[in-house]
Amino acid sequence: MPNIETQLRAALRRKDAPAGLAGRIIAKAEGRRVRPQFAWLAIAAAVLVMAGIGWQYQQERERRLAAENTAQQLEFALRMVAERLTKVERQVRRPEMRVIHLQTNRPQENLQ
Amino acid sequence: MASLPGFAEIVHQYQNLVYSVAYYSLGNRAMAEELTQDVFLSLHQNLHQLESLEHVKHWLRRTAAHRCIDEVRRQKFRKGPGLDEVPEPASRDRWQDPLLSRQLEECLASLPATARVVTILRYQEEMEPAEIAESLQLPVATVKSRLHRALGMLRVKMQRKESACQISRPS
Amino acid sequence: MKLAMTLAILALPLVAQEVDLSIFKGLEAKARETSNIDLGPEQMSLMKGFSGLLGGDLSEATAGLKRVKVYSLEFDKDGMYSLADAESVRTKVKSDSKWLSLISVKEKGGFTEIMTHKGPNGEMDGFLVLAAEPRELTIVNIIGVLDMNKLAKLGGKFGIPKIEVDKEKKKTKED
Repeated sequence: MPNIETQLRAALRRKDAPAGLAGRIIAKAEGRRVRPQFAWLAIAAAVLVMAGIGWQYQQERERRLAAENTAQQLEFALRMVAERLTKVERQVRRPEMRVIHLQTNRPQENLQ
Repeated sequence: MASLPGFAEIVHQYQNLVYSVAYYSLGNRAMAEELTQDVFLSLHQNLHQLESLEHVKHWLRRTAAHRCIDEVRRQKFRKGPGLDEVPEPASRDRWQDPLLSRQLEECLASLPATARVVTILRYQEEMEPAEIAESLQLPVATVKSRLHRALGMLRVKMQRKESACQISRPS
Repeated sequence: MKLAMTLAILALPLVAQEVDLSIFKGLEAKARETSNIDLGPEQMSLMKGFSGLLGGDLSEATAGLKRVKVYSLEFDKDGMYSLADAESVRTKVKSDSKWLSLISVKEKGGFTEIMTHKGPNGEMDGFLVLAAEPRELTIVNIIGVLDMNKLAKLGGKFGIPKIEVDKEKKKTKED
């Protein structure tokens, strides 16, 4: 029996994408209406949508958008923290500033 | 640096790459097709930011991998692989054993999301661990560890399948 | 909608690491620019459920976060908000022994206070930036574990300015 890596390389050869997929993608990207070649394809697509697959995917897209929005807001919040830390760090170095307390973030190095 | 070809040409050139990553990750043709479409539509919106075909390929791999991981995690309640009932066309590669490949695909489908995608990127796309780490924004050590564990799990599962086949064969 | 959200931020029931900001109710009406962010546990959880939204380092630094609140106001001129109100918030927070001051800087017309909240097992499970300037009031309140060393390493990346975690110079100037 060949080793697992050889088997994996053989098993995971690239598959051919379904016929017509490229055309559908290009058409969708360019905003053109896609006309199925056969009427039964349109019916099957409608059934799939009714079965909830399309709806679930749309829900998932919306969740992803919400998650992306959260990530952006979190980055903004952390940027604010970092800016403040940088500003304070500069202030601490200025002799005329009153630094009441400065402590590193290690419990064993309490400077007070 | 050569200018980028048009979107249509890029789709034709890389659809198999994206579709394969999606198919082996999700084990379902319809979902793989949907995901492939989604990835390329996203590429269409971001194409102006990419500078070369190599950059496009890197972007596609990375995006497809992330989307597959997310989708697999969403499907965690699905038991076992979702391989289609439609039989695979006969392999053109005479060195590839279709039964062995199918068994391996089934075992692959039982791996956790990240381990599954890491394995696909390694053995389908022949990406080095460092490249995979960069694509998935993981430490290299984590990628290597996931790969190592995935191979171990696959070996065990394949041995079990092999034993089961031997037991079920008529004497 | 924005006012409703601001009121919601100021009025929600609080856990120990959450700072009460109700004293600033109505201030945003006077501000030229406001930033209000309130990311709750559900949103944080949703975000973590998607791979690749944050860079790997940033994802690691923020893995333990449960809630993030930003309340930031910029004003057109001095004196549009009460510094005494900001000081009373600081005093109230400091009265809780679980809040430890990292840095206190006093300057003309304002101050900056950066504090961490100590959790039951001694870990840092809360973080507060309270910066009061003559024309700007900024409060960032983070509930959960924020890995400061990992955050410092992000200096220069993700739009975060370089933070110098200066381990050599450990100076304290007492008043």
